Amino acid sequence: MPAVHGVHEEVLAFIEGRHAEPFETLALAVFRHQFESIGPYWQFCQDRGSSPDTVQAWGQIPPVPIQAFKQPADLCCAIPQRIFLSSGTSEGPTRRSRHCMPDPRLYRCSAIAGLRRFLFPDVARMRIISLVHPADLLPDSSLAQMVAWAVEEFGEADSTYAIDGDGINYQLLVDSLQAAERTGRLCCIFTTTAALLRVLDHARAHDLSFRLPHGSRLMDTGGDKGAHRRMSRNGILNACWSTFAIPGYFCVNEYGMSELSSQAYDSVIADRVRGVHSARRKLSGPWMRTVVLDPATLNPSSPGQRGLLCHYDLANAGTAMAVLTEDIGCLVDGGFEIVGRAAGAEARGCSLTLTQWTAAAEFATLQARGPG
Amino acid sequence: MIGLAGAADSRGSTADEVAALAAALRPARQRLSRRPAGEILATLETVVMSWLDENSRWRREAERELPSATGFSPEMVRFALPWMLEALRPPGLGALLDAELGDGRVLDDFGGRHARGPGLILHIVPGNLPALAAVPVVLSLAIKSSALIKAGSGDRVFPALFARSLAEVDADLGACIAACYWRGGDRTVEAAAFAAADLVVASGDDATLAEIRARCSARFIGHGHKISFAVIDAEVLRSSALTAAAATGLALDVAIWDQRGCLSPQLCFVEGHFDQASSFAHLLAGELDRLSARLPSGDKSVEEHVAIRRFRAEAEWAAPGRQRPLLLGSGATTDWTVVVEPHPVFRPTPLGRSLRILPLQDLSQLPPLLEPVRSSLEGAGRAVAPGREAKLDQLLAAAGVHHIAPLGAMQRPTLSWKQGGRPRVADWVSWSGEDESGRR
Repeated sequence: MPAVHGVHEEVLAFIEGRHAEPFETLALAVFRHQFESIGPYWQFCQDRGSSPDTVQAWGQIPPVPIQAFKQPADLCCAIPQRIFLSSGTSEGPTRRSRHCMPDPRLYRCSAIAGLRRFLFPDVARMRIISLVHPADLLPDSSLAQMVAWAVEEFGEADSTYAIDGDGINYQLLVDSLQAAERTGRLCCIFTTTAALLRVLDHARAHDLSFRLPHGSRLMDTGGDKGAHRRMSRNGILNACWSTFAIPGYFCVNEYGMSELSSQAYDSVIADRVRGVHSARRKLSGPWMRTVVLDPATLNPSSPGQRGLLCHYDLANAGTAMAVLTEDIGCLVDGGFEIVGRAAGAEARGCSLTLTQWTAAAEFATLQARGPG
Repeated sequence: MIGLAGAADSRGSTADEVAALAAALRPARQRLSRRPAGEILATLETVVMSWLDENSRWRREAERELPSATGFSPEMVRFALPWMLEALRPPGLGALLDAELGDGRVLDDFGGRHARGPGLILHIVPGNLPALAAVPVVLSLAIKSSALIKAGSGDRVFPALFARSLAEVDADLGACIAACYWRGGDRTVEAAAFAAADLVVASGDDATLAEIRARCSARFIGHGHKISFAVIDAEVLRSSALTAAAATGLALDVAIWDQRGCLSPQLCFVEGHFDQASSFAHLLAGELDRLSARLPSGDKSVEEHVAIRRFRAEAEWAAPGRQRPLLLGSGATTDWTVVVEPHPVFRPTPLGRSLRILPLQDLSQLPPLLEPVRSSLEGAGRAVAPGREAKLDQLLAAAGVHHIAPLGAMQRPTLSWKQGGRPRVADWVSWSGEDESGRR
């Protein structure tokens, strides 16, 4: 067990509901901890004139841009115990983020508590069918790790991975879904959005559909990343109904990123269980708060205005709690909505853009490296 | 005067409308071909001079409409709009025709030699800067061609306004110009436009140009996206007055049109070590800050803000252990950004007044840095000791630079600027006349 700061214990207690300290108190304690123990973050705060003496409220804690995770200067308060890499597929292999976790207990605790709140608030366990690779095949993937923990914590003994190094195992998937139909046992599909689109296409091409028992559910994540085609959220919900008989209120899209230890989920299952009638939006546990910042000034956007999502994730206590993303969204009804991701497209000009330039340079690098 | 369908309203022109415009432009040109080139030139110069008069109705209307139509600040439009027309001020146009055609009178059949402009030129004008249509319109009419202007999405106001100003002064000239708009890549409309034109002159990125070229049966001239930079030598840095002047000039070059022009510098090579480059960067930052008050930045999309923030974050979170870049910026806003990078690599910036400053031990190190980007280079601004100008210009020209100017004047090219290394009208005309070598 690595030596870690006591604030990690407080965060763990807060996430598990054993600790009633207000978010703000903990957030300021985490900020002090990170300011004192993470050199690059201390420098970042110094450059902005921010310190535990000047920061009075959690919203004043300087958020690091996600680029901070792409640089070799690891944001880490102690020796990393686990290092997760972003898939890099959305930005090219040279731009992967590294999240060095000195205390992976925080990630596990947050992931399990989030899943319990937003995916399994009504049942203890069910059969999990995963279209996310097993963690031993993708040791760098924070998503694969999360699914592995979900299987441990919420999966029945016959939970299964219908994907391996060769891709989706359609036969195993179909057999598992048909078994659920036959036995009436609930199941939960964990999938990337990209794998889901492939499965939906496969089902249509082979005229397959399943009547999964009511209460079965699906969690997808990752958006267009790696997808062979695009489909709107409504299109996906309709297809999940017609293919699996999983209604929209049991389809949960997860918002996660390797730079965070906490996730946000579609509110639908949690709302249904609590008897709340509200539109689909992203919610997270009380240990992560999300604000929307005006991209021009980084001041909080007016309510309902679009801007950049900025997360304050206590479970990132060992790395960087406040993370400014390039995701565009707005706050709604206690949660948030994602509108898109700023691709970093530069100003219109007759100048060659940085994006074109980088793409060309990466293409040239790949060419030089040759096939394989 | 020709109808200006779709130029300023939100819907684009249809294929039928474009075909109708083109059909009307062609016969209108017949009247032009009968008029002496010198007289056309004089009329064009009258129109240009009226645009350069800050009290003219056209100028005032443009200054009123362009800020909301283009997103540039009113101060910027007022300041920089004349720069888009001043190259056409006499004697620029006449001198260009003489230089490129040998003698402008060949447009009238002169000494048995006759240079004819195409019947109809389609100009696909980029929308990154306002008023980019002025030069192609004037040059087309000067060679007695009709021109259909396809406005860029960023400026659908100026082309129509300019055409109206021409028509008011000279109905014949006005009848040879029409402005329209459609969403780039609309195949139906473009098929109609390409079929009608004798020559298509387009600006765009390489992929767009290749795509147009493949679909265009008319003669095609493409201007690809380019990049410009600045150079300051050690001699200038030794004089505080020259350094200050270089900073003022470069800041202006960067700020004009929020760096959206292809002559806007994105990098500045400074002959000296990192600390000297950093001192210069601080001076430049002060100038950019002053300019952001005098010529405020225009609108930016979320993506543009993000691109600039990413540029800054990459500098701020660079690898530790190595020498860190110096990041200077306009605080929490994205108005301007200067990054001094310890290792000179030629990479563009996200624009929006963002500049990389790259220290170089010696300017002789420039050629290998420019070599990989030769085909993308357009302009260079320079502040160097008087004795070194000729040698540097030679080096820059050999590296593929097409426009060289002192700092502060990068964005005020004369018509002698050979954009993309090509002549302007000499590429458009066709020649007829007696073959001199065949005379007996």
